[in-house]
Amino acid sequence: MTELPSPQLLATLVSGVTDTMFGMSFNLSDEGKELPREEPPVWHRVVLPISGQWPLTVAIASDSQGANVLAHTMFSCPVDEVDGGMVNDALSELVNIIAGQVKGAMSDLQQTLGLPLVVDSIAAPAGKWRAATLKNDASHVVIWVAIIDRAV
Amino acid sequence: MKIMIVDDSRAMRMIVRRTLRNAGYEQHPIVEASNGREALQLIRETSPDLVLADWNMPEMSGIELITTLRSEGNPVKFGFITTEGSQERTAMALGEGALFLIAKPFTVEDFKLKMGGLLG
Repeated sequence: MTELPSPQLLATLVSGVTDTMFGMSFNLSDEGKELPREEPPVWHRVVLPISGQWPLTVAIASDSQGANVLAHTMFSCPVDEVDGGMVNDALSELVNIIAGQVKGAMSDLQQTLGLPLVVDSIAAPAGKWRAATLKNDASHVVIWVAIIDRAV
Repeated sequence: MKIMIVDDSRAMRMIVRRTLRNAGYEQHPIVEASNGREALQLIRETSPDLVLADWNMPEMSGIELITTLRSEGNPVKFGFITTEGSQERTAMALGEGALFLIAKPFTVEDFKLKMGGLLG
């Protein structure tokens, strides 16, 4: 595969990760390219570079409530015990695994996964990119995921 | 059998602990390290029987960890639990002396399959 994965494929990859790791599946709710909003609710964002001949970036974001639920689920602790460090850690690990799945789906991509980086914002990319917004209906958790055709 | 979990993610260390428990290996004591360098020190001090390490970590990667251990003559049983499970990566892991590689996301069955013979 030399094309960026479609929103539907991104959704399938993300849901496969979350369902396998902690039993939470997601449905694609929006294929649009709208970036996570800057105004409240606060969004937590993590990016991971895939370096090499074709620099790529995988990004995920979730609003505060969703990120707290994800962290509570991954850490198996009460929601009110989740702190900012746990949220960043959980989202960082999620983007790490998702990036591995994206790389696997792009089978001819002989490149290197970098380390996750927590960021305050994600600027609208100038190049090609694909994004998907996913929802878990039971918990109302929203995950935004994107693959961007450049290093961020 | 003492197990060491090496991963820079606290969440992942928690998930690995939970998966070990769900696989029926809850009787084994567990120690944790957050990168290869910290693990190297702890391995020298506590002599775990099995190391389960991530590959891609800051400070010292999992492959650097096992390479260093083997260069010191340390034969500790070693397995990777990592994001990339390609044939090339698995071959590289086994070539350095690892016993197995489990790709994330993983299941309880993956743990049983790869570790059943080691942990009983």
